[in-house]
Amino acid sequence: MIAVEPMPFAEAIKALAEKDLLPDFMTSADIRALAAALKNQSFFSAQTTDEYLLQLYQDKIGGMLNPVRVAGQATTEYSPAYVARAIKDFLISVNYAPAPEDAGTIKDLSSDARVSLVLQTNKQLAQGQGNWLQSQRAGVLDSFPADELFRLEDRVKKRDWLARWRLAGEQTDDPIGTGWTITPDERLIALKNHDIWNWIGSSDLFDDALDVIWPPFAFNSGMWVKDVSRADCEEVGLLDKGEAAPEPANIVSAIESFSNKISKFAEEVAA
Amino acid sequence: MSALVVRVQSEALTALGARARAALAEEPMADAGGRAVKLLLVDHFTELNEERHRAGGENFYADAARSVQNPETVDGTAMIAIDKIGLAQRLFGGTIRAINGKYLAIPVEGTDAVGKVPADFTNLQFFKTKRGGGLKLQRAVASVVGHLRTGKHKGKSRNEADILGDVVLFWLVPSVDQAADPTVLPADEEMQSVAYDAMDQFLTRRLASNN
Repeated sequence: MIAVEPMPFAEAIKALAEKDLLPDFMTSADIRALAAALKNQSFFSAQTTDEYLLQLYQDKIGGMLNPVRVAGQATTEYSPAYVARAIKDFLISVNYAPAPEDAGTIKDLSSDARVSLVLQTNKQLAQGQGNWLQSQRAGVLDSFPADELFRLEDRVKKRDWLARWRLAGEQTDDPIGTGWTITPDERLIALKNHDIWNWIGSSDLFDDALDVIWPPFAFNSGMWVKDVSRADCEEVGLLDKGEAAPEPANIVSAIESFSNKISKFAEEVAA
Repeated sequence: MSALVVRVQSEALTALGARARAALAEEPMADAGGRAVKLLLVDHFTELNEERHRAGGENFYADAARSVQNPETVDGTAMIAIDKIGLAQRLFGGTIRAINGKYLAIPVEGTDAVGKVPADFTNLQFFKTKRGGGLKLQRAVASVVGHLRTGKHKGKSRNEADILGDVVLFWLVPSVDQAADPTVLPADEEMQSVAYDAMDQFLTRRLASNN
């Protein structure tokens, strides 16, 4: 039976709502210095210091995730094109003008590329976090113990996620085939909550990473994760028959563990 | 005639009953089936995105894939929400009418209007048509930004098109009738089949581990 009724993605909306607005006067390099725990709680857009703009972004993305539909009213205002227009209109109303050399580039707050990147990245981060939270149930982990990292959106210039996956896997204590793997047809699969998820989105390894343990992992990546069934996990050798599934993780401890890991890595690199 | 009733009860049998109920509990089983359908939906939307995404568009079906939620299990029934505006419209079809203005603005395929709204352009010119109207970029402006690809200019080089005329970016119509598209979702039988298989595997595993 197919029903049509509002049923908001509660975890994603909650994830977005709980993010503090973080006016960000830092460059991308400065952002890396922030603890991941802080970043996971913060909605940010590099070098955007106007809190009202950040609040507008957050409200608009909240509306896209949870459009409040009034009978007889259109949902047009939640379409990405109209949301982008609202952001640009606000910038016009406050007489924003980019530096001449930045006009039209990603540094221009009113450029299509910039507005689209901020909208997409923050919306997808909320969806990724919501999906991660929904996966942390014993029943889900038992039937679908692993995730597959896969390309959901095509890109003209694709980053080499196979190489990234291998590099991230090498940071864990597990050799390939133990907890994480690459299948002969190059599927990138790892048990849910495995250490590799602490590295694939870490800016310690990748400059464009978002320092998160859920997709999209990096700016404009086009990557996402999907469930892998227990039968498939057994077939690719990630689990023995009847072997216990990963334990559900708590988001606070998962983020703490991630933060500690990248801090330790930074110390090792500095030493 | 009096009946003889033998009542057999012991702690061990009570515990066995509890194990059987746990193994056969409907909710985790429906959860396993629902999650399998979720995976099928994600795969289906991923394929649709590959097939139907238009340059400049929003990756509609990719966003639908990201919007598939975990099944909610109530009384043995798993319910999966896909919180994506426009998906039900595509599935069921129907008439969309302009509410906030006189016309709906429909971006013309193959132009830079895809993924934009008329207000994103500063030099659009209105012209009337039988059904409503259109918005076109004037030739001089179009030449500068290089957006010339109208239907009648297909196959011409950009320079030729520049010389030939203006480009229509939006059609303006009071309403559109959208046909229902059942392929937006996997077939019912396919969803039932993956749910059944997942629940069967779940039950088999539960019973085996309960021995």
